[in-house]
Amino acid sequence: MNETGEFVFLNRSNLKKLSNHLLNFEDNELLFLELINKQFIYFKRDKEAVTRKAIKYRTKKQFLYSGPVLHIFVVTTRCQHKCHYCQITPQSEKAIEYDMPSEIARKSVEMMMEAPSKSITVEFQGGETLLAFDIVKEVILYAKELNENAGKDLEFVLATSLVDITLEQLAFVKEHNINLSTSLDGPEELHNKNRPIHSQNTYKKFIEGYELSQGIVGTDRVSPLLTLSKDSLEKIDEIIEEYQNIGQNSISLRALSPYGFAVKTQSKIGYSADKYINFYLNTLDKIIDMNLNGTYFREEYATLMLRRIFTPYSTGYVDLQSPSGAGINAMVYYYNGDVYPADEARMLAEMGDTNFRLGNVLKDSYSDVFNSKQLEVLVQDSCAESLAGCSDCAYLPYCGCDPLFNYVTQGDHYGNRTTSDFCKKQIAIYEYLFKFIRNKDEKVLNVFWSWMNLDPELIGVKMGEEVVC
Amino acid sequence: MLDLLHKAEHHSTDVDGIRKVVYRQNEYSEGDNVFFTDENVDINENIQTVLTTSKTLFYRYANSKDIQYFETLDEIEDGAIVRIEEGTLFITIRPSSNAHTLFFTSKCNHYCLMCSEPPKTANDDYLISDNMKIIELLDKDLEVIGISGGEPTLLGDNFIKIVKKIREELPETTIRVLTNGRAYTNEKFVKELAAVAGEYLVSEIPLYNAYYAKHDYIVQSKNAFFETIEGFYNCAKYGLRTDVRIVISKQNYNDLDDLIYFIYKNIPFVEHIALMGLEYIGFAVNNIDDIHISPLEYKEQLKDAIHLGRKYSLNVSIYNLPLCLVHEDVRRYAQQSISDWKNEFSDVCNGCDVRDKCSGMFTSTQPHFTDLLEPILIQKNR
Repeated sequence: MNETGEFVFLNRSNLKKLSNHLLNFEDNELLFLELINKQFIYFKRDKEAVTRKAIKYRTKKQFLYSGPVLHIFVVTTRCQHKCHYCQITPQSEKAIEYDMPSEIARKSVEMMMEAPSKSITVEFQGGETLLAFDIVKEVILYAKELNENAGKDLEFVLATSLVDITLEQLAFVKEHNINLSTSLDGPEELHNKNRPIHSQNTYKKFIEGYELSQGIVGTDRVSPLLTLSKDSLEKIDEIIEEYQNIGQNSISLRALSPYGFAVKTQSKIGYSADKYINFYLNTLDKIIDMNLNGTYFREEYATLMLRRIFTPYSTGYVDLQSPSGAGINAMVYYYNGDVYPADEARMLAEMGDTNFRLGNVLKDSYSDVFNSKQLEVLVQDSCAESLAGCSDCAYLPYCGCDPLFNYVTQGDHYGNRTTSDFCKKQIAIYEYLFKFIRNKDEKVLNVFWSWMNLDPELIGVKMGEEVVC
Repeated sequence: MLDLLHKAEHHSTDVDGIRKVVYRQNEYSEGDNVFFTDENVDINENIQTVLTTSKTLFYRYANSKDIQYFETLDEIEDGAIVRIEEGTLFITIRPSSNAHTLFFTSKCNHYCLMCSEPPKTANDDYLISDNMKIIELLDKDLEVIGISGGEPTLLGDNFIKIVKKIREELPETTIRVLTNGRAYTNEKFVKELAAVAGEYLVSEIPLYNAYYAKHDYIVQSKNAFFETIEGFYNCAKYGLRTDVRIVISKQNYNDLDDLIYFIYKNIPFVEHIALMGLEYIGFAVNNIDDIHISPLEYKEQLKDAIHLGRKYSLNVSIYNLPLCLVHEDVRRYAQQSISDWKNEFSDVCNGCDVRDKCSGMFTSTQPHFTDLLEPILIQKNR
């Protein structure tokens, strides 16, 4: 493994020869050429070898050049749901003092537009964002107004349960090409259990909203996300089936976050890292088999890891970057004007810990926030290349840091890799994937490429007309 | 490309230069036009320069006009651009052709084993002013103009000067340069070229092997590989577009997948990769034992390379190979890539159902391929 993520499988004897500069061309021409091709070794006369490697490295780290691309607006913390795993403290539906005031919304947009980023994704989070839809509208319209001069690529994502979404709201969503990110936990019983609203059938309400939305804004603009509770682990087959039934060909098997309610009710809905890893890898086996048997279906987290392993490109994912994407690639504007480097940081604030607050839009400028001491520390201590336990890990080129996860689970943002669940989980996934790579399991690797490219045709699932001849 | 040369029986040096052929008298205007007729017609007073295959006409106007007589003149189309020099006529642009190319120089710093246009050392500076003139005469709505050689970038500042002229005269035309890219190690040169041509210029750069020594051997030039790669990077840095051209020969047919991998990991920004069959002309004839390999022998390797490119989401194509010599899984990547004036089919091709989608063969390739061809029949009821 080298800095740019290239890898070669060597036997012990060749590894020894290589590290002692004893490997020679005549004995092992193919291996030698592979090592050159992948830039483990180079010839003295190749004066640009280091430059080429540097370019590759820079390409992989391209996210460092892009600035904050993800801007999360927490427009309200009101919500009608009382989900067991909720990451914040939801306020009652009537508590409008938990909505983002117009002045703060506008100041937040102004700060966002100061970011140097060429592309900007505005993500609305709650609470239930539909309860504060007027603020969503105001943010979008004001951002578009300012963008007439700024000329950035603006995208909008609305995180919502879709429960009770109105035709009027959907007309606005369609008009402004807003993507809808929603939640589906599985079949009816499980969904209702995880995501209760008093005694209503939230599953039915979700399906109504989902179908209505798809009909109006189009199928590819509505994507459901899965949250895994303890009960879900036993019902993964039904969950996958449910996702297929509503027309989805992918799922993301994220572990539950250790924030908000989830910590308090850990024993009731949570699970250990070992249990999760076991579940995740078994489920991946099943999903891979589905694909081998001709049904195209993706697991998104594995897809992200595979892109890191195989492609030469930078893959933005703020929760797994080195240095961490918190702050440098993402900003969170809380309903009261406070600015945080990550969604998890505002969730901590909900629990009373404002350690990671970077400033407030009413009194601080973009540069105050971006140059704050808190952010400096976060970046410094989240370069995996210099962290104990990461710097000498084989999987370093594909991995990253989540300093907030460390902080919550281990008490400091630097973290300790030897006891880290995060680290344990990552290594288990890399080892699982590399098993197929090392065994040159072409059929499974083909499935992996079909995931990375979002291309079902690679596993023989026809998408359109075939060219005759 | 300079081709189809004709010798005049009688000539006047006043006709010499780059000229555009005009068939209809009323379309002739003073300047760079030359009127062509094969009949004994009356010629308007304003027409001064004439080409003809009519001897009678020649004698009628021999004393009053700059007229040149040829015994035969094939394929000299209305609107063609020709160079006339002391009674010799070269056709440089034929409007009906599917590819128009400006020939910049015969000189080259590579001596590729399979070169189809072997370099010459003679002074050919006249091509600079010729090309400047040709560019003025080209159709303004031309989609693509090719630049070829030799190595066109050896012209240095004059290369940029001619490209600039194309941009001025043909602002909507895409310029495709066949170059080995080594001149692009000079950042100043790349920067100037990018300023002049920007996204309207695509460099088509050959890369034959991922291993430098093998590439350098094929192009017969030391440091070629490293400099070419550096050239790719400089192009990317200044926003110049690049394509890769891989000519498949005995020297590299087993290494195609490594090369695709190298491209993906190191220069994934290239817009297109063409995997190309050989043209058996020029140096290729002399070096045939070193380079010749039947497409049937590398069928699997080519298929694998295309599939790998597809996995990497690279834009890959196959050039210069008839469909029946390409693995059926990757036939849809085969393009009709051969310029019409050197494109041929064989008799057996008449029974083939996909002849109209096939590239056919180079005139020079045909003898090597004819025995291998097998018409493709589409099953009607599937």
